[in-house]
Amino acid sequence: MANGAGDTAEIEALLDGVRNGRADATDRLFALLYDDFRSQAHVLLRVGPRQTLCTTELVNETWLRLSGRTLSVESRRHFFNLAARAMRQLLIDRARVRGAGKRGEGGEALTLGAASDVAADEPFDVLALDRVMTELAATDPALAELAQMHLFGGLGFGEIAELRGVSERTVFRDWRTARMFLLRFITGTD
Amino acid sequence: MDADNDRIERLRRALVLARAGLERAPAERAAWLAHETAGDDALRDEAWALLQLDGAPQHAFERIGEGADEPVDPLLGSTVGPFRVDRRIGSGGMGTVYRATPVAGVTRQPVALKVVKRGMDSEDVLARFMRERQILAGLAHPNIARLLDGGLTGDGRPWFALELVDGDPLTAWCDARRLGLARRVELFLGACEAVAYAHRNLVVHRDLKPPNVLVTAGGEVKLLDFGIAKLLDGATDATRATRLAMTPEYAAPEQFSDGPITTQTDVYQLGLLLHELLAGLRAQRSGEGGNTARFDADDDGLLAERAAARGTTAAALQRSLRGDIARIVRRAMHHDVARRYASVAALADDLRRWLRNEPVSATDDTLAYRARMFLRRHRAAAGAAAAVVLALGVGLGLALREARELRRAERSTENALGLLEDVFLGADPWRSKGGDTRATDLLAHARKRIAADSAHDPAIAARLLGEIGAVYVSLGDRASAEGTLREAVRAGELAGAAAALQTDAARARLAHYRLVVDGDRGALADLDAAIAGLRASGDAGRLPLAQALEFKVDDAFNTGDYASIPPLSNEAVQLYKAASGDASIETSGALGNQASLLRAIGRPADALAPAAEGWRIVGKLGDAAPPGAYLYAEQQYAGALAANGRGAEAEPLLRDALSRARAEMSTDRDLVDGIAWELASTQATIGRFDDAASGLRELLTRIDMKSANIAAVHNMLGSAEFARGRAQAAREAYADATKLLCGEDPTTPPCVVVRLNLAEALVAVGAAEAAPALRALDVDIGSADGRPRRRWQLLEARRLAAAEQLDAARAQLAPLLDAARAAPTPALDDANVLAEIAGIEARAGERDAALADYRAAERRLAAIWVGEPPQLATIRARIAQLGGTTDAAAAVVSGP
Repeated sequence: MANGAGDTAEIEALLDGVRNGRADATDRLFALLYDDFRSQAHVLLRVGPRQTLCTTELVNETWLRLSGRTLSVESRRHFFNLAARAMRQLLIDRARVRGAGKRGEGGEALTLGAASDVAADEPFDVLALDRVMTELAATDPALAELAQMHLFGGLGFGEIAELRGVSERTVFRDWRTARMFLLRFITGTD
Repeated sequence: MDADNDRIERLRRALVLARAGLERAPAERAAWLAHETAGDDALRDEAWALLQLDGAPQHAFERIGEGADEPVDPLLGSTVGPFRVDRRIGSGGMGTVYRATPVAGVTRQPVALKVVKRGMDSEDVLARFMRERQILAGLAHPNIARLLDGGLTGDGRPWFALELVDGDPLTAWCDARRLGLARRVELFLGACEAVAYAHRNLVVHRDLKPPNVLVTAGGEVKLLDFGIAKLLDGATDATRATRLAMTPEYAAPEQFSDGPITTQTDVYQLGLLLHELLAGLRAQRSGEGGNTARFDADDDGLLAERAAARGTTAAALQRSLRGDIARIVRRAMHHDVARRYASVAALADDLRRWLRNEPVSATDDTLAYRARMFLRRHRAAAGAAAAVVLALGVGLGLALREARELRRAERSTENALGLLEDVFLGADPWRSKGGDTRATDLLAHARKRIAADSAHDPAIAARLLGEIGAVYVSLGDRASAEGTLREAVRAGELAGAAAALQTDAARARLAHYRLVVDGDRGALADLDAAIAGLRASGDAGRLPLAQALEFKVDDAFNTGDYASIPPLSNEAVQLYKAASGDASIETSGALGNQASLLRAIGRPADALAPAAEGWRIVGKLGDAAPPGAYLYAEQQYAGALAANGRGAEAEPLLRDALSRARAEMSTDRDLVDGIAWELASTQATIGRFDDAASGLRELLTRIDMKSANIAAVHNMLGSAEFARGRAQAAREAYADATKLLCGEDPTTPPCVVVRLNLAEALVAVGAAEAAPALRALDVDIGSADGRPRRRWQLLEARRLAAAEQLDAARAQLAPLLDAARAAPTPALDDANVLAEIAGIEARAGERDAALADYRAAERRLAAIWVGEPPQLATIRARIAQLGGTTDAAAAVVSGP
């Protein structure tokens, strides 16, 4: 894909760096992924009949370009963690830009896909989600990481379980816990 | 700053509590939380507010990762196979679904085209995709979207085309039309039929949820998306991939816990779907993947809205959602597989009964459940070869007993209600409560009234409560039964001597629950005390005493104390005779119980007399005997005959029972199928293999039961086909049985039995797989010196003889010969050994020895079978070739 996230060798090298705790590698990989998502999201959003964004597919596309190589579980965990973070950042930045352009501060109502069993065009505030996610991270960083991987990285519970080396049941229970938290505070009824 | 830190610390603690709270049952959470927070009300409130949100409907933010139309999709507008891709209509984990139109053709009917996603064509996904295609190819049912075509796209991705279903999810369809509950259930039955059909084809859907059950504008129900369906063929599952794809909100507990996926997984999901369809909201998720029904809405506004969508009022909806229909839903979505409906057909049957206002089988704790638990406990002891067959046979006997209990319950309901009507409820309780009233509602109402008034006339109250309790016992509603019986005991204690009999009878029943169902040995003393009390009551206490003695027999059976069963059972029969008459239905039933117990404890010879007596009684009563009682007696007698090697006499009885059951009790499919199974088994043992095979094949087209039972039918079919000389058909049937039975552990006794059968068919058709199959069996049988080893030696000898290794074959047979030649009673295994060695001897030119062994085999087979099945004909032909005469030829004067 055009504007791909560097070449795969570079990404693998960066993942090695991340694994060895090198902050610069983390930053560089984050930036790479962010740019990658942004360039593709741009294409999707410009062309689409409705302005829709499919973050799961974006993250997966990027991953698939890498997955020819066999990476360790640890590297994969770092990858998806960073990818989810980058995706979250991208969505927030877009919301901020739009919001600022339209009505100063405030969040953008992002239109979601017309999945059959959720009301189409049901808007919600990305920035509100981001705020609650930040709050969750302050309260329980591990739960926040899981929620981020699931929501922004589009990973299923089974995949997360594998990456974290715990049972799927544990992941599911953690997700339910995180979800209670997010639901409790996203509506602003604090 | 500190305030902020405090707040976060408080939230952290609340979150920890909420997470722990998830592991408790919803009903216990409040009390548990209060205990954990011990006075810190703010913390308790925070954790409680969090917990309340578990199971809340999906919020929009959870969809942030999903998109809809992928704008740049090269497939749009292109041609795939004979179709032009019009637009995208959906996207799943591994594939994208398009609407497409045939490029050529007359109808130009649009289709749904499913294509593997680009980049997702890993081996795993491809295998899953192809499996869905393969599964769909095998399913042709009006309620399942049909497979039309398949192939590869230009860039090599597989696709398939399906009938395009233009419809709405069942739930939304019904709401939009404001359908009432009955109409909803009727539509839901269409989905049940589709799922039951899939099960008969060994397919479990395991992703049943509203978006996958659509209704067309014309009102046709269509089942979609077999993307994570499982073939019950024993093949290992792509577990990881399918678990990624499962829908947690609709998953059964066993899908979370990695338990075995069976047809009952679909029963669970159908239960959830039915719940949502009727109540208008998803069941409450509780604990480890279980769900709790929530029919009692706490929000009046919501309830009114849902009632309006069902064309009724809030009060009427709530009333309708109590009682039988709620029990049906709860049983379907029971977290314990053993207590769930055994099959979709059983669920559908109950729903049909509910539609017809008939009593339903769904209860909270049934005798059938106890029977299953009993079998589970005793399976190891039941013996290798007979395990599966026994499971069906004994299970059937107990089921029949249960059915008899139910019919008894109907009568005693009538009695109790007649009394209640006069004494408590005024002239016409049915009219006063409206036409929708069900007997169980009335019963509950009566119980409340009587219990509230029991101080007024405690003796009458004790008696009525005892009767109502007995009805609940028979209906299997344990909670209500225990509650009512305790009320009866309380009233009885108030009444003193006037109600001593009723009090002891109720005590005996209460003890029975604890003792037999729960295995609480402490209740034995209570039961004995009640029995002593009933003995002291004299003649009036005979019936409850007989019943209490039968409870004691149940306990003896469960604890394996077989020696005390016959005297107790005899005493019970004598009491029934004295109380109800020598030739009464009650006595016949007690005799049948006695016979089934004697058979079950391995004393078939003793079972014959009581079974025959019970059968004579119903024969004399003629039309006065209810069909259920008649069938029970007939079945017990046939079973006793067959257990004593008198299958030829049992067979006509079973034929009669089957035609009666079909005519008079056709709705009771378990009964009809159970009798059909016993008839086929009996026919197979007496050599009527053609009849057995056709009966079994018919059974397989209709049957919808647990896979272990289907395996038993396949296995029996294999034996019948093999005996008819159709080794290839036998091989297929045995292979099916093996697949069904040997999923996880190929060394279980029933699995070894069917593998030996399969090996026998493989040897017979000269298949190359025979040798490795026997080698594997050799290892798995190990050093155990039982029937499996002896059968293995015979089969190995057959294989060796076929490969011209006659000496090696003789060596295998040698240890079996003496016993086979000397056996006093004719046995099939011995005949097989003798025929085998005779064949080897004949080939070695040892004519006299061969003739002697062939004749011995012939005698045994002729004694076991009626007529001349192929194997016997072959042996007689061999004898003739060797120049000898056969018993049959000697007996027949004229010949060709």
